[in-house]
Amino acid sequence: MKAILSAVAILLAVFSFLSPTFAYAEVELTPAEQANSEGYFTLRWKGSVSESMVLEMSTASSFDTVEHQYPVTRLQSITLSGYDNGLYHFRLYDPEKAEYSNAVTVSVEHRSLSLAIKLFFLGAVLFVTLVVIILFSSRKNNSI
Amino acid sequence: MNSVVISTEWAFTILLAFGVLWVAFGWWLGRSNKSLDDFMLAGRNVGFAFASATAMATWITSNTTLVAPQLTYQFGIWGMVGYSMAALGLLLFAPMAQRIKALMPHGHTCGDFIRMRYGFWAWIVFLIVSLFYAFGWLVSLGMAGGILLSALSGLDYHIGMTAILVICVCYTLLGGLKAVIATDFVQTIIILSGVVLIAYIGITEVGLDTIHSTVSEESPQLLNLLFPAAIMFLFNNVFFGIGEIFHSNVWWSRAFAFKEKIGKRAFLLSGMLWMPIPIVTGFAALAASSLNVYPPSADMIGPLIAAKLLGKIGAIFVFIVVFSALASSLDSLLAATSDLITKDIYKGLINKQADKQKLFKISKYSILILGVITWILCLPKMTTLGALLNFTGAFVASTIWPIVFGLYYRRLNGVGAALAMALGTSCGLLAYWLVGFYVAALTSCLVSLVICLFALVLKDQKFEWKDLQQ
Repeated sequence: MKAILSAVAILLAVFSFLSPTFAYAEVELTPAEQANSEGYFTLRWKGSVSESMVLEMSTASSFDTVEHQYPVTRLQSITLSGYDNGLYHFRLYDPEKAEYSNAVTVSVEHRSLSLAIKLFFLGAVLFVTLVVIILFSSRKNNSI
Repeated sequence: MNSVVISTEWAFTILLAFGVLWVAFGWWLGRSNKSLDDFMLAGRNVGFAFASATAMATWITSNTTLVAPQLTYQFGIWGMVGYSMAALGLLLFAPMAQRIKALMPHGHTCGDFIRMRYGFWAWIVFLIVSLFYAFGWLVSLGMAGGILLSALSGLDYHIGMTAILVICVCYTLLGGLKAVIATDFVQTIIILSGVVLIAYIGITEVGLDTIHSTVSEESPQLLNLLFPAAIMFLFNNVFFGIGEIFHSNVWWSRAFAFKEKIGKRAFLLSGMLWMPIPIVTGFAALAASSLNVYPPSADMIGPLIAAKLLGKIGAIFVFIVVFSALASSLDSLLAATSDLITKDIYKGLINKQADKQKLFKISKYSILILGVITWILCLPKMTTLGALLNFTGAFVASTIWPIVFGLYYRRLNGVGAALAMALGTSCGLLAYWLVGFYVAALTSCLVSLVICLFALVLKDQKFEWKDLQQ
């Protein structure tokens, strides 16, 4: 029993260090900034939201032009994806009360394309090697 | 917007109905289990139809029903295509399944192979890798049950997670691999019908033109074929999928359980049938912005889109489909990991004199203990499904080359295999933390190959294949 509990404790400790690339910004009353290399990110907030509340996005910190409004859920977070390189500002807006939350900023800068293409070709070479070895060896070793 | 589409009463009713159905089915099938081989390997007599269905259903899991939409939502087109490439693992395992059955007609686990082929230390490294992966997958499946219920019915995450674990542990405990394979067959039919229906309704309701124009405007990177992180992810996922299948006792136990000469055809067919499924399930995620659905967490996108498209009745249907997909994988993993604990850890390390009756009992205790540990690990919901699964990629991809070289070449020795797995995993984990989850498996696989090649050049073990038939 002691061994099982130790194993569980080790696994819990290891799992708790997961997801280093999932950076989170918090949309609450505490402003936050986050940098992101994949174009997807999660924003969070505390407190309950009404059915009419939306999350506003603007590329201007002054929110002169709101470029998109996202509906929000009672689950206190939203995950957005597919963003290009750039600086994006978000805030919650309640149209019924005409109230805004604080604003948060997400900076998106995608990884280097040349590194990605190099890794792609490396993966392709590795994969072709594996396929050739398995098919060639299976044909050659029909019997033991 | 409120994400709840099924009432709590409906969610409980479905859980209860399917729970009773699967557990009763497991009990009925398990009545004829008289020996350890019956319980662990379904009497080594599984025919083509059941063999193909179980291979396919086991591979349709949180990967295809929850994580494929998640990765499409995050990586766009490449996320969808990359996930369907996981079918390559099944296709490439097909010739290997035939080889495994020929080399070890009386084998029980993949651990047996590593121990006899490479010796003690490689076996220990392999067991660590394999058990870590098994727990990662088990936890992801338990979490997926909780996420599914939470997204569709608003029920607490812990209730869904506990329910799916209890149901799967009960029927696997009662029926063994026979129950796992038979329920997989029924679950495959439910999953396939559901996936086809959802895809058809999605395309006709929203329309491809609308999806394309909305995604281009709101989430342009999702349609960009030169999206850097997504390009990196593609082959990483290929090696992750291959590593998962090549090393895992879930697949080895099937290779042992299938009738002679069935394995190769069954794995080929299941791989070909599986390949389009992540495309269909992932495609739904591209309709998110057209439907104005933005998930709280990326792994909730699949059920939320389906519920939005199909309404309340549809959401119930989705609930049943995803629940079946999760159950079909969870039961297989429980059975296969319990085999590994029974044969490799208990008989191999703790009680070498244990007879078959004793092992039969230990096998059942193992399923129960695995269920309890998984439940504890699922409680905190520490990360997203995609991140958790890809973390294990660093582990499993390191085993690909030691297994392939071990099955086909006499030269590779135990030290080389152990180092390849240990250093491959370590470098994969470093890449996970330094770059991202989408390069962990690729790095691990590459390092493992380099070490294997060095070992092949430096020393010829001249292994005798007949030693595997003991």
